[in-house]
Amino acid sequence: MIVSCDREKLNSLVQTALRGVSSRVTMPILSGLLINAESGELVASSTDLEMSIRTRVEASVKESGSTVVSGKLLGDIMKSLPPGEVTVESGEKYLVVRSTGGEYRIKELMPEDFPQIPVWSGDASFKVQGGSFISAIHQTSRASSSDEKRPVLTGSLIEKNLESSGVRMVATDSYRLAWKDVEVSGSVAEWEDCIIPTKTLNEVARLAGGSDADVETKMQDKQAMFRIGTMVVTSRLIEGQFPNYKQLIPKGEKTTVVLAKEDLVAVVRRAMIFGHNIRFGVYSDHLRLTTETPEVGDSKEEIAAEVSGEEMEIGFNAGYLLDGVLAVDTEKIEMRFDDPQKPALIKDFESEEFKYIIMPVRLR
Amino acid sequence: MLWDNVVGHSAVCLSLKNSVEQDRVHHAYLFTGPSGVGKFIVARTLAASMLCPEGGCGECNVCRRVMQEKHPDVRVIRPAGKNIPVETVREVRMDAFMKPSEGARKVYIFKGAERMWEEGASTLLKVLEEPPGDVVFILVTANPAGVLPTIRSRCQEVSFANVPLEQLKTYIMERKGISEERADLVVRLTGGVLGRALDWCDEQWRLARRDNVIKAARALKRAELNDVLQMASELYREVRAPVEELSATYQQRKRDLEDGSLDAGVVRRLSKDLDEALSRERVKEETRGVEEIMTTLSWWYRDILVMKEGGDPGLLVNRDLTGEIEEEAEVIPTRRLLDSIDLLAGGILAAERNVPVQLNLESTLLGLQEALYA
Repeated sequence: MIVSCDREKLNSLVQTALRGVSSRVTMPILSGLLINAESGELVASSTDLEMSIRTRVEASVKESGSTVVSGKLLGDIMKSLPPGEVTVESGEKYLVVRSTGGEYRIKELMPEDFPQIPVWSGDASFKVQGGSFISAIHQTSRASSSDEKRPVLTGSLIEKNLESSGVRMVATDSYRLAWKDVEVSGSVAEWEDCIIPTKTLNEVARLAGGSDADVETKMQDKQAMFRIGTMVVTSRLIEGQFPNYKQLIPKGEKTTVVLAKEDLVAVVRRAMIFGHNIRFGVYSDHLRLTTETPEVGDSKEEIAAEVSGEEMEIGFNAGYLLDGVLAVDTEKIEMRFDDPQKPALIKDFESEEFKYIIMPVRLR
Repeated sequence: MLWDNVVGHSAVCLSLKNSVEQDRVHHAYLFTGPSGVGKFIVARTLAASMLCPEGGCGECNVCRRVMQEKHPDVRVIRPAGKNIPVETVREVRMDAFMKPSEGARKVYIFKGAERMWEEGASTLLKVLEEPPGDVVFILVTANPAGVLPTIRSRCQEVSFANVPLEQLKTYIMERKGISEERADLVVRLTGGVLGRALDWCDEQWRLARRDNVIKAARALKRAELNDVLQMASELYREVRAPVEELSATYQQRKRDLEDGSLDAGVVRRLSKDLDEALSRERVKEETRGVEEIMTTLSWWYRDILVMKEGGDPGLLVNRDLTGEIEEEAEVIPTRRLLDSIDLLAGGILAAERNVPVQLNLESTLLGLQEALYA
């Protein structure tokens, strides 16, 4: 393999691929980057077996080939090279990187040992506008579980919604649940509903961040693939049955509360200082949030709100409440309650796109 | 085909091979049988035959990586220290719920499957109760009684017997290019355990050690107390030698890691793994050494007994020492031979219970002297 390319481009290729290298891998080969040179392109791939990244750049390929080298070493040298053209050549044992005057050799690993990474083929199932994909991930991922005892809940459900011809992203840890409807272009008919590790989705959001490019999505070889510009992220799927979330959604017929999101965020943050559980009182024209930690201190704060329906007092875990309120996308937030013993609903004001369901906690 | 490379176990292999071909693979197997008999090789072969498009051709990249433990869909879990830690079992559980990376199936091979504490075992049990569709567990153990009964009942048990002596003899003659006479001796001395037989071929000193051990046993008749203690300490050195060699091998492997192809962090973690493996292997090798000495002596007295009672000379294990066996059979009474064999069984038990090696050897030799010649 003999390839040359501009240092800037090469560096960004390597740094992007490095995002897929995990520090706690079990197989030595996974600390490496797979480099392929073929038909005018240099491709760098990495994987931690859960998620893989494959990214490419145009380069002048004098001789095609492939190799695997330590990702960290290649990343470090690429970062520190001076601007200009860089030549990369693989030999018997070493990958040689040449820049003006410098020559750096990196010991090669066996490319045959590198796990196979699916290559994107054909068209995308559907496309999502980058910004709305990222915000959907941010809005839902906090509700995902990190408890490995229930693997299904460590992932997010991505489900096609044939009525609106969009997809719905759902995450839950069984204490709260977040869902978001996302508009897509293209057809969702071919999409198979699946559970994707939330960790991977967060990484996709990070990789897509900054660029406003569309995220193209498809299912291939039982893996979910996301294409962002020249980069493809592939994720293994979680097997199992996602909880039937639709039946959990509160009707919210008894009481409805509307108030400014920012105000509520500030009040909840202050209340959290004095306790984990908030007593959330709903009265005719205001809310009263109280917290206490016995023998340490307590807090009490009132805030004006438009309330219709019955007055009630309900307990919430402060952190879960804050996550839900923060995820709301509109300036005003709408909350709906049925009963102090039943889950409550937090949602965008006058919109059904985002919903957050939170279980109440028992108050003493 | 990889299946053809397995020595012995033809019935077991055939039925496993058929179940792969007819797509009737069980979701969990328990491979049981003496250690070194070839359970783990069959486990890897089964894994390769499930993932390889040709059913385990032995030539392709899939087969190669499975056999070298480099395939992402085949994970081998070994005890770390004395046991398989619960964290490892939890990781496996999480991983089992992910779809495979490359193939249609994922395989988890647990070596030393009996070595799990209750928490790890019950975590594994949970997965075995409701296994994800494309996962196959192969639990490998030499001690099936140590496996939780609830786990056993959820596995298909496959038992491995020792390889028939004649078949093993032919195999090692071909594979190691040694004479029939020598192959015969090795096979008898190792009782048809494939792994052990191969070790005996590669490691000449094991045969030399047998000679030394028997020489020492014969010298007991005229030995003073101090001589016996001297013999015990020489035998102790014999046990230590391969352990030291093992340390040297591991040091070399650690140096090989630092050839620059891996990151410092990865190297650090792998060397730590090697250190742990070494301390595990050292204990194992030391125990094995003592056991081998005791076993050698047991066979020796058993041979004398066979000769004395007029048994078929074809039954002798140490057939190359027939002359010496005859001499001893003349002088040692039957009762005393039986007592000696009992005593050696106690010595093996003591080794398994971690009695210090030198102490164990001293008391066994003194006990033998007492039993045979007092």
